Amino acid sequence: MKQIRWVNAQLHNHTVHSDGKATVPEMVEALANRGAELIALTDHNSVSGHPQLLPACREKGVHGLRGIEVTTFYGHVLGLGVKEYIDWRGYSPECPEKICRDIRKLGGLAGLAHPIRIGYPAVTGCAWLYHISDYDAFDYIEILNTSDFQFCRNDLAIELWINRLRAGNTHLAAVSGLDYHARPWHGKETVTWLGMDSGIADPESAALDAIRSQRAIVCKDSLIRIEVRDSYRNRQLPGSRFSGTAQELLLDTAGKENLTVVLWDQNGSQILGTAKPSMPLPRIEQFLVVALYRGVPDVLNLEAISNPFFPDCTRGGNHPVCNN
Amino acid sequence: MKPLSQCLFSAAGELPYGQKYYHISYTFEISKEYKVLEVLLEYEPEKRTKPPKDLEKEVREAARTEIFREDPQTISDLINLCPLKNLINLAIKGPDGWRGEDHKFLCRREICLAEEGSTPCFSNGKNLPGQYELVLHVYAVFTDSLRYRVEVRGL
Repeated sequence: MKQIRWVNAQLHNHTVHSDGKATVPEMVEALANRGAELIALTDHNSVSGHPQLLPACREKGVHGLRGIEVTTFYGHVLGLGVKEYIDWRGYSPECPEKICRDIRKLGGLAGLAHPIRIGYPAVTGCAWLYHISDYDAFDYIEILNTSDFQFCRNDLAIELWINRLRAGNTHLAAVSGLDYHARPWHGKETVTWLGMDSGIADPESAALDAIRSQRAIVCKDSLIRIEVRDSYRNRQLPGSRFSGTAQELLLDTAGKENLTVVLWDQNGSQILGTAKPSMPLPRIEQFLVVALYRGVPDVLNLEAISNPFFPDCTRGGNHPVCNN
Repeated sequence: MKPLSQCLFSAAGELPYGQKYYHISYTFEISKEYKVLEVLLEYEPEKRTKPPKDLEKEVREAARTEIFREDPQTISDLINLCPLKNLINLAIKGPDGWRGEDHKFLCRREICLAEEGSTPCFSNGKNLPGQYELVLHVYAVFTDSLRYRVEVRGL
């Protein structure tokens, strides 16, 4: 049985090794001081900061995750786990899947970065201009990119992700990205809480496994636990594929009150009501995504959103247990 | 006293207004190992001082198709955001692979490649003899034209 530990992760960060203002140790210190326990380094088309990352993280008592942001003219793809420069000249607007294939060949996970964002002439290269034929090429979508609230449509990014789940790309994980550049306006935006398997000794591998397994909850700050109790009385974590039906929603809102619970499944969405520790669930079709909002369900009020649960799977999965 | 460096490669060119999403590649041979390679990229002008006539139209179109917004406040904010700075990145490949890429958008870049203390964005390593490649990634030219120059010197 897997022992899962929830880890505060920042998965999209830049330093002086691209257009960030902080050195690697400065970036690690700044994010560790915000509470991050796992810090990725994803400089634009650069891995030259990697040798500094893990020592800087050890110094602060946190984990590092090496990666890159493949930064092309037509959009950005995150490659968590990639430790090499990628020559991006051959990527055409018609085939972003090739970027993902190259990332996977190098042992990384491919993530669609800030999918709905302005580009040329305001911020050249930042908009997603590729045509995606096969979303299965991607491992995850950055549903909340908080570097620029005004010109980055996180509401539409969430909608894109839900629509892809409904279209059958059920493996797509959802994460957030601070897109840290040490700019003055960085606040304490969002955190991806990763359910890392304590049985995997290497933290980088455990983090990639958590994302690949969709064991993640994106929260405004502190962890809001979102679990489901199935018809066999097992507690299920986000990303779980299980054979029973989803009976009950289990919430630990970390002391936050008056949160509105919204559910998405294959057929639509509904407001379940004000969050309580235990809430009976209606019939769920194919997958369940749970979001909690401070009051009105608007992306600016989002407090937490889970990765999908998959009830009624004919092949029941294992049942991870939390140890924190 | 700093030893005299030797010019190993240089090139220059001019790009027209509106050039974007374009790669320029230069390859050259280095016949011996150098402790330090200094790579210079400079271009001018740095930015446009007056917005082009079609800026508002382009911003409006980008806002409509990329973030699905058309309201006047958003368009106005975006126009104010436009720096109109010419944008070129430089990537460098050596005989043993890519050394890195400089995603900084400064109009003058002085890059040092060495076993220790290479400029951030570029990996440390020996500057082996063999074929090198410089790639200019031209993101955008907002000025009427842009003149650039690249030079590699060995120490």
